[in-house]
Amino acid sequence: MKVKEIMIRVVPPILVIISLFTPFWGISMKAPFLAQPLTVEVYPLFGLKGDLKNVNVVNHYVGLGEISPEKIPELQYIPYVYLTLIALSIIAGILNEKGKTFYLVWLIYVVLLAGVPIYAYIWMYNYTHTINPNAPIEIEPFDPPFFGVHKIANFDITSYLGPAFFLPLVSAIILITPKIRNRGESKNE
Amino acid sequence: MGVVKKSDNGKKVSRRKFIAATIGGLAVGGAAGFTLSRLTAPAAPFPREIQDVISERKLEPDHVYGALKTYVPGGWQDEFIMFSSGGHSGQVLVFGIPSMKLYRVIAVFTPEPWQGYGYGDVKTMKLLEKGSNGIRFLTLGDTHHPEISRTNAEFDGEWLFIGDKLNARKASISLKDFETKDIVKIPNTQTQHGGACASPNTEYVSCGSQFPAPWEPGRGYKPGVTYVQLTETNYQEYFRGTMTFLRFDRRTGKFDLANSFQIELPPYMQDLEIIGWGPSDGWAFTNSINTEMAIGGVLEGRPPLEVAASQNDFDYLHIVNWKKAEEIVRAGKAKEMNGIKVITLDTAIKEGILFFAPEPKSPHGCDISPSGRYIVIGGKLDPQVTIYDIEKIKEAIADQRFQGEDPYGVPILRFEDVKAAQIEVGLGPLHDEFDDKGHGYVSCFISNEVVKYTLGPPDYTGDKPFQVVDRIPIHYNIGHLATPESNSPSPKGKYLVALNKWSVDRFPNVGPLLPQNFQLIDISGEKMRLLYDCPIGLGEPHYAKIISIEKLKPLEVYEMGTDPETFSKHPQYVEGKVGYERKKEGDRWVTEVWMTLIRSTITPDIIRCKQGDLVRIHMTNIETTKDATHAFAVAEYNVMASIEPGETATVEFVADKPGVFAYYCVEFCSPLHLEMAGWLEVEPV
Repeated sequence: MKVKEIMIRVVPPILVIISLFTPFWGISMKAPFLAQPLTVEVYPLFGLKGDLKNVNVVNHYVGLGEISPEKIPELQYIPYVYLTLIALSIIAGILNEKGKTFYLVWLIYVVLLAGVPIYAYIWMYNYTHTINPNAPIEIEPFDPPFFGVHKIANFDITSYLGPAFFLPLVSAIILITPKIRNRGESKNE
Repeated sequence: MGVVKKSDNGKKVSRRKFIAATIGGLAVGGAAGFTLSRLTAPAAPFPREIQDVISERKLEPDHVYGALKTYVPGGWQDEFIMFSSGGHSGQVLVFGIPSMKLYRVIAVFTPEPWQGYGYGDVKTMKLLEKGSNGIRFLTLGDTHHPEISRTNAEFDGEWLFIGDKLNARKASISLKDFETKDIVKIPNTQTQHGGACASPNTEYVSCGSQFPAPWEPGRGYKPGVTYVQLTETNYQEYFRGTMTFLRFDRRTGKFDLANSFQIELPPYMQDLEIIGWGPSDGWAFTNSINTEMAIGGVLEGRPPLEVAASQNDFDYLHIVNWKKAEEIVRAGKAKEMNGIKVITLDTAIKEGILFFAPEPKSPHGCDISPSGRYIVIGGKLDPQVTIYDIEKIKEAIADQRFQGEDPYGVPILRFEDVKAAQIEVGLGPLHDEFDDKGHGYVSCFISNEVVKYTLGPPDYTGDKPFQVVDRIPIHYNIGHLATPESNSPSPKGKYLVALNKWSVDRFPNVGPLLPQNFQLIDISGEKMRLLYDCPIGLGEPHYAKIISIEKLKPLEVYEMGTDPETFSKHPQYVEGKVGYERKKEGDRWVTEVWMTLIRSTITPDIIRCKQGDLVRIHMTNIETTKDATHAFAVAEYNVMASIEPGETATVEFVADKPGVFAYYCVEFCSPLHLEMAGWLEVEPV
């Protein structure tokens, strides 16, 4: 009982808290002339981190906009989203014995969590489809390299969802696990 | 197929026996095979194509050995870095060892356009001006002896020093960015040779003069001012040599003349110098030639210098107690002359800081064995290496055992009292370096060879001390030689570079001015082995210092807005500031520009000024990427700057001629490099 209680009530919020210090999305761009790949990562707490400057140097040739934290006001809402996730995970843990309210809270939690990368993808989609027509090198708008391995011009790109996405996801699974088990047990009975 | 059949049809073998026999056989065979493989190393499967290359190019085993020992694939590191003097190119050359690849030329005494050195970049113009002799702007030097800064006498890889023989100057180079940070003209001295050499913790960088300079009694030598008629009598009476200890500030990289000192020396030609450690800590040594004090005069009825200066069988090894000299200066017993505290010859003798030991004959090279015990001299006109023992020197000085005095009153020790050994090595021994196994290596100019010999204890503890053990011919006319971290307590052995003056037939003919030849020799085994010939088409290097590559910790890029002169923020760097203004400074019009460079834009790309304006541009390379260097040059104005990522530099020039002049990035940086340009409009007045 004690262990189960810790698993349900303590671990999920702690995982979300830990995730605050890790990126939820990242991109790494490798080119022959770079000793180190260019990386940009998005953190719940610290926003955009990485070699923005050199990404901008590269992007300006093809007319992609300048990426700077000041130009992305959405970034300042992410900490609140994660605060909400922490709160919801605590509530869901407490309500775990209850039925419908728990499912409602859990669902809000999952939707909110999924919303972050979905929003990020939409943002990136707009970014890679808004191209300055006066740029020195003309390119067609393209779908953003959001997840996986891509090749664009001379860059080998790897993009990934990070711990700040997966840790809260693990929390969601931990929270829902007893319910699934209970259901199985009740069926067996 | 047949075999299988035979076995099937032959004697019946039970399955168990068969399996046992097989396993047994495998075990025995395996063990035998394993043992055999230990005994005879299996020939590495040599790809056929390698063999083809060898036969196609008609390479001999020695060539293949040399190639395999020296080839360093791209992206791999060399083991050592060699800083070589660039001779009369005035610069320093940076090589990798064993690859012998030339990695850098460091601008020191000569303007170097591709480094933006001496073409309008204010810090480099100031440096060359400050390092000039006060009578003219010097743009050439003859670099001779590099030295690396030391901690506890070991090379630490932080600073590099190099001397200009032609104008008696000393430069410091930061090994953080491989750029020259200071040049100082050595007072009271016209030419120098023997330095640089650093004291065990780089408190001082020292060097001796080469040709004595005319001194006004009590006032020293002032370039362009001091005149003494050149006669044999005046030469002896008024000409003087010096040994200078330049105070060095590790933090700023600058020499501090106010806290430096100098020792006045008789007008012999002081030559190479070394400062001791361990048992020789506190002592400095320099050899000398022309103790005959000949002045030449072939048209005046006197023999030429080369003859008259080679009459004495012994010249003088100068032995200087520099720690005591430092105390004497602190005690106020030195006399200020031309900006430096000078210990006069009389004071040096009276206070017991200068002694001589006889040394054969017009020698070259003055080096200390790793233990710090032996001072080794190359005999040059004497076919021997002469080795002195510091313990014996200290004893003889303590006992006041002298054979007499030189004409100036400097006490001379008895040769037999201070000598440890003499080794007959070959003709024209010039310079000695050491390995980590108690061996010395001496370059023999006349007999064209490097000769390896054993030292004595504690450097060499075998049963054949002070004996020649190997020799190897070189091509041709070797001057200095260099082994990794020699002339320090821990030489690394492994390689030796012979700095040969002539190459004759070693390279394709590229005209009558031939390259020098650096020969890389493997000294890791008992026998020396030639590995590689490396042509030097950039001046005539003299001496080189080699250091383990891991001791060097250079920057990759500067922090944004860094002034490389100070490694701190450039006062004119303000993040995001671009533009220009025209204003009056005193009675002069100045157009001051704040400029940024990033792939592929120079901002501003139009500068409008008026004829006669002083144009002052503070330019920052706002890149943060390694290797994203930009250079800036103005057409027809002889202006060039090289700005490394993060660097801020100030360039100044007078817009004296009207017109519209293109400026552009001179270092190819990006696909739109050609478009990285702008205009300087100079409106006529």
